[in-house]
Amino acid sequence: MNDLDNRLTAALNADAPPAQDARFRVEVLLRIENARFRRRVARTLAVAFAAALLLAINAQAIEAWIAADIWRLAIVAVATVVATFSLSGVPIEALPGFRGFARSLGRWLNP
Amino acid sequence: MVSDDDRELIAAIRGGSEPAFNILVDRHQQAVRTFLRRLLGNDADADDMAQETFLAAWTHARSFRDEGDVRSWLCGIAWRKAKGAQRSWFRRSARDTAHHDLSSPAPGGALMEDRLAVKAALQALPLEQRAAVTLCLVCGFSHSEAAQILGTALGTVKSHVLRGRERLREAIERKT
Repeated sequence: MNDLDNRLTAALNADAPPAQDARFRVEVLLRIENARFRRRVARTLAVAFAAALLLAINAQAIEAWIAADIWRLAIVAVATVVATFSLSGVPIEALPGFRGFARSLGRWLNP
Repeated sequence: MVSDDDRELIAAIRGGSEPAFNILVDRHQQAVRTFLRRLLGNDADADDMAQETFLAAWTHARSFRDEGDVRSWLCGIAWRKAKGAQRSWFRRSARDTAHHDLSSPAPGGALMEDRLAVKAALQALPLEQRAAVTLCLVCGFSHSEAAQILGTALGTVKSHVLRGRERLREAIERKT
């Protein structure tokens, strides 16, 4: 290797990024969190839209079903609360073991 | 060049392990960032794309083939991203490069004049040739590994590296 090659190698390897860069790693993790958040929001909006559409289509049938027995109103109220918490994603994922269950289910569905 | 340790990391990442992913980033960020910095000619844009590369690696860890090399796989993702974003990124990079060159401090060892000449000559090379030169002369990949990363023929990579190297040598000679 002559002097020209040495100079070329030195010029090409100059100003290289550091071998360890904690800030870079943190920025990558931030992007992952942002991507997760965007996915969750998109999923929530899709489910909310589908639920609203189903309710709108079946509004009369639901009303008639409740009118037949007033206690059915409580069932609808509980279902609404569960759906609201499910859409936010947070309380359900905070349940112990839910994440592990969801991962196992995901692996089973998509091996 | 297959590292069993890297394979274990990928297996853990597929299971959602963030600590394993942190180790993977620490271990390979320098190679990916160096490749993209030389390819794009702009450090900030290159680091941005490197972060996108690692995000894609996290999201698509399943696409890694176990017989491959992790560093090659990451550089392959980076290459596809750079090629996909070619128009907007490279137009902006070309506009910003001159100012960036002058504002960067001189690194220890390499002469500033050589560095500027080589950087300008590297940016003047066609994209695929620049990528081949960077992978082989800067990142230390073999010709066959570079061919695999770029998805091109081995002979093409050898030719790119040979011609690119000559162009860079000429750029230094012109300065002296």
